[in-house]
Amino acid sequence: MISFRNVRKSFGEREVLKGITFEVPEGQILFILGTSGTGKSVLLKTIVGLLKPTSGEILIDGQDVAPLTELQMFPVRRMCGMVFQQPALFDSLTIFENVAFGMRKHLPDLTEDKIAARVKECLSLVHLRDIESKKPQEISYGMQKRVSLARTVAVSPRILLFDEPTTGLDPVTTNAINNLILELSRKLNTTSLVVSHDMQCALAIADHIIVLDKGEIVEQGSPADLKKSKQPLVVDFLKEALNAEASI
Amino acid sequence: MLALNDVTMSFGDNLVLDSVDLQVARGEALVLVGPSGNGKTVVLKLLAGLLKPSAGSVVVDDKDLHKILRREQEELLLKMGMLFQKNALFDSLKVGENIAFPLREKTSLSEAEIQERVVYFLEQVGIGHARDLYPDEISGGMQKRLGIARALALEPSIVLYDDPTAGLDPITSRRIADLILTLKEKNKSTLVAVTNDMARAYQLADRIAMVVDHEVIVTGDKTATAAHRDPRVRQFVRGQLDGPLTEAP
Repeated sequence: MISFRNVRKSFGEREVLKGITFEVPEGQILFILGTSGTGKSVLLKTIVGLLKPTSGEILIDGQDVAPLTELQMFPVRRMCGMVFQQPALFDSLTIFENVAFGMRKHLPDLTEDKIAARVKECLSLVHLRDIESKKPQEISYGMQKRVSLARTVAVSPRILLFDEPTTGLDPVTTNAINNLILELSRKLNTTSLVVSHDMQCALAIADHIIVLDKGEIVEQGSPADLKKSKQPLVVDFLKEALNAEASI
Repeated sequence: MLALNDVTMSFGDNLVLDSVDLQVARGEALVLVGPSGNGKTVVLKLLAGLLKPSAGSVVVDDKDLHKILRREQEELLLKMGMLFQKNALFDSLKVGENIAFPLREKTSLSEAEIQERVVYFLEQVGIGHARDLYPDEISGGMQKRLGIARALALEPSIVLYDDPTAGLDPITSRRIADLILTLKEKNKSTLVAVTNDMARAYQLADRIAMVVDHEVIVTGDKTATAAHRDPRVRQFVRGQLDGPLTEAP
């Protein structure tokens, strides 16, 4: 369970998060929607301590992580897998070594056989096989995105954090990644937070959606609740989602 | 008029385009779509004269871009404005100076005329208030708009946009695309844009072309594209997971 209690974050005089309160029960998928520059990524970064909130509490399994030092944050970060917008693979390493990288670092007791089996398993989770010996630049961008997902889940995180996972992707890759977010979260029983612009996807796979505008939560609820919302920003997002659907 | 005639483009052993023909009429809006890594940006850079084809010709206003004198080439290229995917703004220059810079470099306008134009184009894209801020002090959407204002300040008759709404939310994206179209009408310019977002492609395009498998398939307007029979086009515009685009090579 992750709970935000009145979380605020300022940069100088500019307050970016203005008292954020919400909860994500274990095993659920939460979408954080909002326009560009409205504090979504800042919110995600406060969970793993990449940014510290100015005030408020961030509880993970009942423990407030906001006041923790860098060193104390370590076990918290081990619980969390973060998927960035760019695949961020190591160019000079093979796909195998990219997926094995986190395991070698964090699970030093694993034998080579176990690592190899786990790499294979994680690649199959993202529907890839027989690419272990390739380098990132030898596979398509969509495949690189999937390898980055495999690498993230390889160290068995309980919490998955996605920062705009489908931004800038073509329609086919977008759908593939959205399906994987759902599949992985359910199969691995992770609690997943997805920062996104994509209302269509949120309606399809989220358990709960919060909509952020200028640092405040302006709407939240299940996909069914959101569809009925009269909040102006939500209405605009719904209109764009309908538009995207109509263009198919 | 803008054209690729029988253009082949390779980078070393990597063939990107194979004997491609493409025409863009004056005043037309052509949008290039297609899977990542298939060469959309390469087509745009060929049209902009930033890449020279391995074979074939690039024609701008009836002149072969790579068979004319350097000076003539520069004159032709001055008619073009380009918005890069990452905007390519000057971090160390204020918003207003980002627009003034190319005007000082490429025109003989007086400083007063330059400042007048800076104000005008910032107003056109709705960021007049940000003139004295630095690029990293404004939002991603505002940076895009600044990139567009800078591309347009030289009053190009041909404007090339590389993914003008990438990374922006759909509401901001629609607004940026509206702005691009308004400015196109006003300046009666020709537009070529690259995007992966079909909603935006349909909003912007008179004609759509898909860059895939070393080819450029002109699919036509919105209706024709949505009903196109090529299985690769069908899969792409519908975002289907199964089909020729996702088959293992």
